Amino acid sequence: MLFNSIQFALFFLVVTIVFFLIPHRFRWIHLLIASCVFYCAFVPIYILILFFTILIDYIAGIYIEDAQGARRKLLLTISLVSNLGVLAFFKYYNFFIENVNALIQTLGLQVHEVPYLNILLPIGLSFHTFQAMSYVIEVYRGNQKAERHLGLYSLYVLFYPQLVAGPIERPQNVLHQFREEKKFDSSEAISGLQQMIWGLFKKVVVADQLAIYVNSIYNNWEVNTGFTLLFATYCFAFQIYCDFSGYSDIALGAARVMGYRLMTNFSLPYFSKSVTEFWRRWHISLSSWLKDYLYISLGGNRLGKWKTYRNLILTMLLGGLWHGASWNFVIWGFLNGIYLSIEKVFDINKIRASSLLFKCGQVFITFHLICLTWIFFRANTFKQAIGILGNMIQPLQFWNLRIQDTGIFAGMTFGFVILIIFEFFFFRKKGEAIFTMSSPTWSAAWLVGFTLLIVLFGVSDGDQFIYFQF
Amino acid sequence: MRKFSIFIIVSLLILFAFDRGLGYLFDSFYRQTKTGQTGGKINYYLTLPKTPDWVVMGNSRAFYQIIPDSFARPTYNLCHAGMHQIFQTGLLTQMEREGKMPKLILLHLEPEEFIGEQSNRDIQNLKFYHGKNEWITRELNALSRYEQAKFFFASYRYNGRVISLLKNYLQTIRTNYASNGYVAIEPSETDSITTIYSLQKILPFTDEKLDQHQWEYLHEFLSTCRKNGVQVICFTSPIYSYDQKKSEGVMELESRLKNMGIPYINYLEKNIPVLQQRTSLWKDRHHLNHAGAQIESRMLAHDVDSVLTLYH
Repeated sequence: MLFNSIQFALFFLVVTIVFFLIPHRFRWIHLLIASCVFYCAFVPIYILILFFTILIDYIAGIYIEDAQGARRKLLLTISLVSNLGVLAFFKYYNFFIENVNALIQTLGLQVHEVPYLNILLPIGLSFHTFQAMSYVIEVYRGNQKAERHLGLYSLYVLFYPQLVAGPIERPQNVLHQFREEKKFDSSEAISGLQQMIWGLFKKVVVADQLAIYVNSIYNNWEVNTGFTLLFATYCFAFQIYCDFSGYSDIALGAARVMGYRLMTNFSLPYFSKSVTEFWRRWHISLSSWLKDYLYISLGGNRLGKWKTYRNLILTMLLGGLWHGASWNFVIWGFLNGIYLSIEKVFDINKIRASSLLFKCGQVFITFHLICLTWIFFRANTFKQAIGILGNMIQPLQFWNLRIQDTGIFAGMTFGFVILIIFEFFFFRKKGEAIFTMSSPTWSAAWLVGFTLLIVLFGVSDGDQFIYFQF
Repeated sequence: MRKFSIFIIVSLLILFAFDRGLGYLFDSFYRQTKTGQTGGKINYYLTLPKTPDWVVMGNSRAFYQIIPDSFARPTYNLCHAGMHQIFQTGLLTQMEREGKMPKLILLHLEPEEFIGEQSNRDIQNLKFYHGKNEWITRELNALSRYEQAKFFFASYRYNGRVISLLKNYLQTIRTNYASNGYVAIEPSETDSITTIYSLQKILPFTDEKLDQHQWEYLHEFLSTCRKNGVQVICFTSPIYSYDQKKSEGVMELESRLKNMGIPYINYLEKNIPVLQQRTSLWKDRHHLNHAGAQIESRMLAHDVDSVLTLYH
């Protein structure tokens, strides 16, 4: 059940209406059932995996809270190994086998190739695994009390708006909200709807239109010129941004209609003046997760300069691997780690730009550094990424932009211009407060205007969200 | 709750009013548009005072390559770039409804589009006829479970086509548009380079089987023509440096056409030195430029004459 489907619109409507009609004490059951239905719309059987990890983490949380010393650590390890074991099996097993087989071939060993697993990756596995791990680690660190109510803990992992693509929530932010009695708040509901429609606009009008262009260029990269490939990479940068932040907006909005507040996941990342700042604004729930649970656990910046750089690169490398089992994601993470380390070496983030031109220059450079990493993210293989980079720097056949379909090109340009106008003039100044500060007239205009834009310009049979595969 | 309900009702009413208003406005623009792929070409053909004797239908490889003036009889090029058979059949049903059937249709077939599992999404380019043409409405509704619900919005019929519609509408009212439907790709100095460049990406057919759905659309097309006494000649334009092995599906397609008594002129299989030896006649591997189009059109006119002589 995709957020950009009529099926979801009906599901959301029914779930929300029933939520406010039933007494508070039954709401967690209602939301839990709704979340299970939502998840089962993809591959039903995989919900058993979720139940398995939920049960382990729930029990581990209670025992960790009561335990002391080495036993406490052992329980944490059991929980983490269980979570990571499931993740490794479903997500990285075939990648591992692929590399083992390649090694066997390279060494010319006379042994049979190791067989691959013919299984589908459970949707959103990386997201809910990290969310579950976050709970256990927080209980271990003493920042969160163990949740004794199995239903509420299950809801923390399964809560449908953020189940398959985040934000990766912390227990301190969400668990207590499930205990609070939510009264219907008209202004919150309107704000939530506004945010949902904005997210849907970003997905179906901007991201999905850009996707048509990007796919046609990247899938035929061999016959496209340097400038076309560069332009398609810019388009991909905005495609992935609108795809993922659009999903987050719908998730945040859907939760908000019911009175729940989820963490902000994106904050105008392409206005960043450095890669460090970019990572404070892009996929905030993941980058803060990596910082809190990985970078700091590795020692952060407390062990000297070189170890700080090592920790940064290692964190981003694993962050890359979190996205997918492929060397391209590893390179993507590695490049980001290198950028962050270089910025640390030169203390880039302490430079205070005085002129507008200088700030624009910083934004321009940061955007291009990020675009370089997106080539590896988007390309299907390492060979393709290198081929694209090769074509980009070829002086012959550079200045020729392939537009493909003028109608689609005009549509995606139109969507992009609307996005930039709203982000620059509204969101840059007010952030998400724009959804709460508005008058009823403005809210109605927002809902009607963006709904019409979706009807007129949205791709009605668009792709699923890119981040669902992670 | 009361405040929220009022807000939602008022917003929905405004949305409904704007949607109907835009639908009405775009309908009016659409009907007046006589140029471009967003319905303009179809409108132009359907409003011609006298239906041309012959009509060419097919995708970009007929759109940019078949010059109607090359034929002995009044001909119109009603081709639409990128459109599969479902679109051609849908368009034909509308021509039939409006009594605009020609005497002969030159249908460009793309064998690749009949092999493997193909998409039916091209029918979306005939959304304007949803609710007006039964066949098109049925095919559109069959695209997805909730497709019919989307047409609750009157403006949805222009989904993804608003900018093209406005551009074509302005072009129509600014110029006294008259055409035979052919659009030339003017030869340029870089044509040889782009053609050779496009050779870098040649994908073999990965599937061999004939797609039954596509065949059914073609069959429906041919049956409608037969019912209306319209003769059909199928043809396929050449491809530069083509050396694909004929797949099982293509052979089956040819055999079925033969069984139905439909002549098929396939330039993919003919060695045409004048085209194959000059990259300057091509825009890319699949498309001839205007210079190449002149050669193909003359050749097709000659071959069509031969076929007609043979059949009569």
